[in-house]
Amino acid sequence: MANQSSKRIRPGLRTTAAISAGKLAGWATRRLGRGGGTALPGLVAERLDPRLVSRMVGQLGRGAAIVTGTNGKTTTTRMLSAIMQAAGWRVLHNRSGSNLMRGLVSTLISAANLRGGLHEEFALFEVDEAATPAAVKAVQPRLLLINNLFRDQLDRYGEVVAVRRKWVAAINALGANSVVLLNADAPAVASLGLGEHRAKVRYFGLDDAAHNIGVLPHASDALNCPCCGAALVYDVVYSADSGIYHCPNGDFARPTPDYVARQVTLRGPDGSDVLIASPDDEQALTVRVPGLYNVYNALAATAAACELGLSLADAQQGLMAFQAAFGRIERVQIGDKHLLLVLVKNPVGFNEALRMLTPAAPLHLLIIINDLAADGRDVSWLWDVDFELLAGDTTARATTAGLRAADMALRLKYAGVDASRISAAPADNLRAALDLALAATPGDATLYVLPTYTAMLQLRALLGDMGVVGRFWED
Amino acid sequence: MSATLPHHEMSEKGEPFFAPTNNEAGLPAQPDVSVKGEPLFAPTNNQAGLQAQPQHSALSTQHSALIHVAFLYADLMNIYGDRGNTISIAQRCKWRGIGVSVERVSVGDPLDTDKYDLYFFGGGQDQQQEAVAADLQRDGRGTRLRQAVEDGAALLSVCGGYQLLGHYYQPHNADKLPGISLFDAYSVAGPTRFIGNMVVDSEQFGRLVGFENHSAHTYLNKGLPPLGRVTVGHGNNGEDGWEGAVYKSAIGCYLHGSLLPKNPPVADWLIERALIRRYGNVTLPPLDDTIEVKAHDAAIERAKATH
Repeated sequence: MANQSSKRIRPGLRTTAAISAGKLAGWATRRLGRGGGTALPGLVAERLDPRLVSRMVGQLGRGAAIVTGTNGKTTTTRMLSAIMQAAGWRVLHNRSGSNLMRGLVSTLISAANLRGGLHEEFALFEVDEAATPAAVKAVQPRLLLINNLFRDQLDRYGEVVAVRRKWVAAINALGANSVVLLNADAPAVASLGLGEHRAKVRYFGLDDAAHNIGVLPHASDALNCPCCGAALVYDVVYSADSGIYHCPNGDFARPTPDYVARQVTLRGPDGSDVLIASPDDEQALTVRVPGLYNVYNALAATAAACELGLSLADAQQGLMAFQAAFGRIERVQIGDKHLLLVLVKNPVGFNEALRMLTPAAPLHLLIIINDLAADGRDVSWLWDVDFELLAGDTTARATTAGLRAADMALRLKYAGVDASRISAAPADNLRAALDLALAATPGDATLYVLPTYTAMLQLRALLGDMGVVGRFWED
Repeated sequence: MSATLPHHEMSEKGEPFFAPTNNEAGLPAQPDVSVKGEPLFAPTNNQAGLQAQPQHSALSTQHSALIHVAFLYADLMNIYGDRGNTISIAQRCKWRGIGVSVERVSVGDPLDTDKYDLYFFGGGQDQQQEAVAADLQRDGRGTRLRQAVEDGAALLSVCGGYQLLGHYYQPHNADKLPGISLFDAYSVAGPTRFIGNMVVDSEQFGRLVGFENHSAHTYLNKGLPPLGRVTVGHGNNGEDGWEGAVYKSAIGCYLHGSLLPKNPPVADWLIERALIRRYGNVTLPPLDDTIEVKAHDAAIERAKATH
């Protein structure tokens, strides 16, 4: 952008002090080995200058975008970032999953010079559901992308309805030049487009009857018409609450998507092929991470890129370069044993992971369940997951670990996994659990490791200590 | 191809409520909980990999036993994994060779109180709770459910379901929701939400553990016994130290978790009461609860550590 220098902020003493203090805090936490230093710097700087985010984002020549949703926001954000980078944009991106306001601030100050200047020209933020209204107000993004809404960590967010209410507030805070991009196939998200607001509404959705699963899974939410309350009728069901639906009284129906994915071919753990159509073009794309949910993520990222002025060809190039986010799906090798790590954070994501794994039965599993704040302190959600998929000979061996190892073992027993195939490892010793699971896995089999969020962080640290993978903040 | 919501299909066909939802990838068959009319305490069906449990002959093997469970408003009141309670009932019956059918009964469905021996009524979100409260007032359904408990049916209600079985629930900024007065109790939205692990000492069932998540405060009128005394957490209202209520064979409580899998004495009491309603006096043979006891004890340790 030619005239962006005129927009550059003239940071006052307050901004400079905030940035310096934040940078110092980040350096200190890393030196002390307290993690990646991703949250504290933001906390410090935000205290010193509450308007820091809007001041810093205001100088960016290409603006900013925000991605939120229950599942897939990290993957979608990374896909969108990969597309932009393939198109030559200099993108700032909160990559380490630090997605509360202070994480945004930390991302900005670690990239900025001491006067608050940024080399990047676009900011891409993955934002926590509940933090979205505050982030939209501070960032004033050109685009807000909302993927889906599932029950996730309800003890932290209150109820699904409350999250939706926050999103309504976020959309109302967008200006007339902004776009809100919504998943047409998820009624709780699509219906956000109905309200009175200034932003333009765009939809994305899947049109492929070959992936109709017929019946809604148990872990489904928000099945009522937002206008009259009648139960929505699904003509096609793709997953949890996604599909093609209508209100029996004609008050609401799945909006016609502006961006459509067709002819989806799932190629197991290797990924998928898909044809994506925009309002004026279409393009065959390859998605290099598995499962239908990643087709949705790629579709959302592609639609966002097009709305921001990029092309389907840019999307195709970017998605070819895309790598899965850390720990969400990752292959590692320990000695002669192969491990596939899949992050699980809620019933819908867990069901998707199980659906992806069951064709590889008999399975050797290590399931690590923690109940810290970032995991959800209530483990009731384990009973919403369809572990019945693992019953009988589908499971060769299941080791359960983490703070809630015993709960997980119990869940598997009631799902119909024979008790003799289940071992609960001590809750306080992840190394012992890993050794136990590895010892039970034959050399030619893969150990599938399913950790919750904090369990994944612990596992990464453990694997790092064992010299297996690098620490996550180096990525 | 047309697909309606599952509770319609399930209630019509009387299928298990956690039937396979996706067979696109040739997924394995699910455990069939609708084991109807099998001989009492006959060898368990091991096709689905259920472990063999000790066989007992405390009851006559001459006739079959079968209980009918109604999962009330399963589509609307199923938050926080409460379906684990019906999974527990179904499996613990099955491991003993007792037939069990679990059927979903939701808004507008017929409620055949002659048929059901055991009811489960879970928690839901505000909007759903309104629809359910209204449905309970229709066609004398609430009165019939109350009468069923008077006549010996077993019932477990958790959170939102528990609230609607009292006289009323008064939410924050909305109209009072009428209850069906099965429990002599009432609920009022409180200023803060009680969220966290909970441990309750019950004279009848021993130490119970679960997870509470509610903003309503429930008050029992004099004469209605509570389920137990809270040792970790808040319980009914965070003031009087009590949790839950027990009336005849009906339990109301705030214990998610799910409650029954980690607290098998409560599950077995409900099964026993359901069998007694149908067959008269019975004694349930014990099961191997090693994994259950470990999960129960570990959850109590976790509750103490997080409080």
